Amino acid sequence: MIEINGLNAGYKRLHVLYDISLRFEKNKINVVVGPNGSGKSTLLKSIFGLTTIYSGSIKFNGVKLNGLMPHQIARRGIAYLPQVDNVFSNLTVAENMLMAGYTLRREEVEERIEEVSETFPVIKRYWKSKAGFLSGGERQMVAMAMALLRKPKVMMFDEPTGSLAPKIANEVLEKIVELRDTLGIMIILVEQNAKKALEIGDKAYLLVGGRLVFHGDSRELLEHPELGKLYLGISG
Amino acid sequence: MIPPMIRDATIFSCLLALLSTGLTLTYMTTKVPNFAHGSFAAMTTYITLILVKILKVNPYFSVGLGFILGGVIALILYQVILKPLLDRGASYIVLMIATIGYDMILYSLINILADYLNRTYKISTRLYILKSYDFRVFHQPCIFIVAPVMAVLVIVSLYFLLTRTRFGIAMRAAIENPALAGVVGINVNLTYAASWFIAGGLAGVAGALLPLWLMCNPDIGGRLIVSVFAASIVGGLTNIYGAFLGGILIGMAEVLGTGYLSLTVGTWIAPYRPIIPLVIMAVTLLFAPTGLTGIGLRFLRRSGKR
Ligand SMILES: Nc1ncnc2c1ncn2[C@@H]1O[C@H](COP(=O)(O)OP(=O)(O)OP(=O)(O)O)[C@@H](O)[C@H]1O
Ligand SMILES: [Mg+2]
Repeated sequence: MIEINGLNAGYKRLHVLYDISLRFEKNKINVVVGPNGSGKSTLLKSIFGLTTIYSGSIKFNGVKLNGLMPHQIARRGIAYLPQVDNVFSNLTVAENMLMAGYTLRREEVEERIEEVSETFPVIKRYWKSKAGFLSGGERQMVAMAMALLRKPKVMMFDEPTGSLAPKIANEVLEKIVELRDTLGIMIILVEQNAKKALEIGDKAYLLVGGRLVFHGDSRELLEHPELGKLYLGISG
Repeated sequence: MIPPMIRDATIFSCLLALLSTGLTLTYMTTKVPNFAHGSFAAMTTYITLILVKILKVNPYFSVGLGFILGGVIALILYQVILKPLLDRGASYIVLMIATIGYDMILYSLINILADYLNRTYKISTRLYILKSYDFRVFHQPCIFIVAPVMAVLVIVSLYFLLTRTRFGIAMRAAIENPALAGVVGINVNLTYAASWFIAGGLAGVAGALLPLWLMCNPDIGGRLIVSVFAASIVGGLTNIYGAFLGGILIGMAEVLGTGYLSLTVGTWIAPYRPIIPLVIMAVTLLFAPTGLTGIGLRFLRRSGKR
């Protein structure tokens, strides 16, 4: 379980998140939604120690995460698929995968690469190419595979379907449901397509202007008479 | 017979290539031009002096010691000065000035060391050269063989480190995208510290070999730094192989250029030698700001290969 208490965070002097207190639950898909610029990505980055935290605390199973370096947080079993710059463009796909498994033993990395390649055949197809030369969608799939490589305890996805074709986007969301059901890991999902995400999600968190304006069951937000229409473009 | 000017040029360009490769490596990690880089080498010239004149042993022992001392001096600059400043969000200018400050400290320490050695052991520690302590191999000074071998060895090892080892690939990953590197579990600070250690180590090796061919003085770092920056800039500042080529190019241009001008214009021109790297640097910045590697890419693109 990830527990955030009174979090104020941002970038240097730019305050973005105000007094966020919430709980992300285990074995659940926790969906974070909100308008553009509302601080969704900043929330995920804060969990990973990539922002400036002014006050508040972030705990994972009771252990404080804020104050740790990103690589230490990674080693506690948290994986993260960033929204942008989520592959190393100057490295080949093979090197990207090797780096994704940096905390694992070499043999384990090779095994895991074989496994994720089954779901994401792009990896083998472009094995020796620089990741920077891939198309947006192909890159997104490599990034997704990188995040999954480590078999994390917590998986944070920042708009994983961002640049994917609708068919693939649906497959990715199905994959996320499957992750919850088979591995029982905690998933934190930020999605632009709020309706779809809330449909597969268990818990929902609505951020507006850096403040948490709703949290509860995702069904509740989906059926909420105003919030959905006001902020998420969900009608009726 | 090998003309002396070619020998001079070869030795100087190989040592310069060691220096510029390291400078570029640190520039790529921390994005700060390190003005103390020349003094890393100046410091280790004294290791060779001590080995030869005081301990009276083989001067080439200084290569290993120079690597370690150079590495440690660079690591201190990164870990004790630059890293804390970076963590506080210091600007590029602040970092740059910090390296100039560190250079002043090193320069003072070198002068103190020079005076101490001079008074205690009664040896000359300023404007000294150890050419006569070098060995001869195939009727050539040993340094004429060692400098090119060392340069090639270094660039080949760096290539293998950066492309064939997990830690080396992690160094490239951390240089490109430190946030993502942290996310996959790479200790970014460790990879940067390693880059600084290697860079300082290479400068230390260059410094250790310098006195076997060139006149050394505590201020040699300041005199070298212009050529080193020129070499790195010609190399494009973001590519260690470019920096290596830049070092060879600037070294050759400096020695051969000065030699040629001395013959044609007159020997009075020799002291103006630093103008050559400065001019090349200015021309590069004006007409090909991305350096040799940029030109290479553009050329490849035009010829449709890419
Ligand atoms: N690296 C950064 N440095 C400075 N400011 C940033 C940075 N990243 C984001 N911001 C600012 O923080 C605010 C929140 O951005 P954030 O990326 O968290 O929004 P978001 O909810 O993820 O939006 P989107 O749906 O467009 O991805 C924005 O106003 C943005 O300009
Ligand atoms: Mg975002």
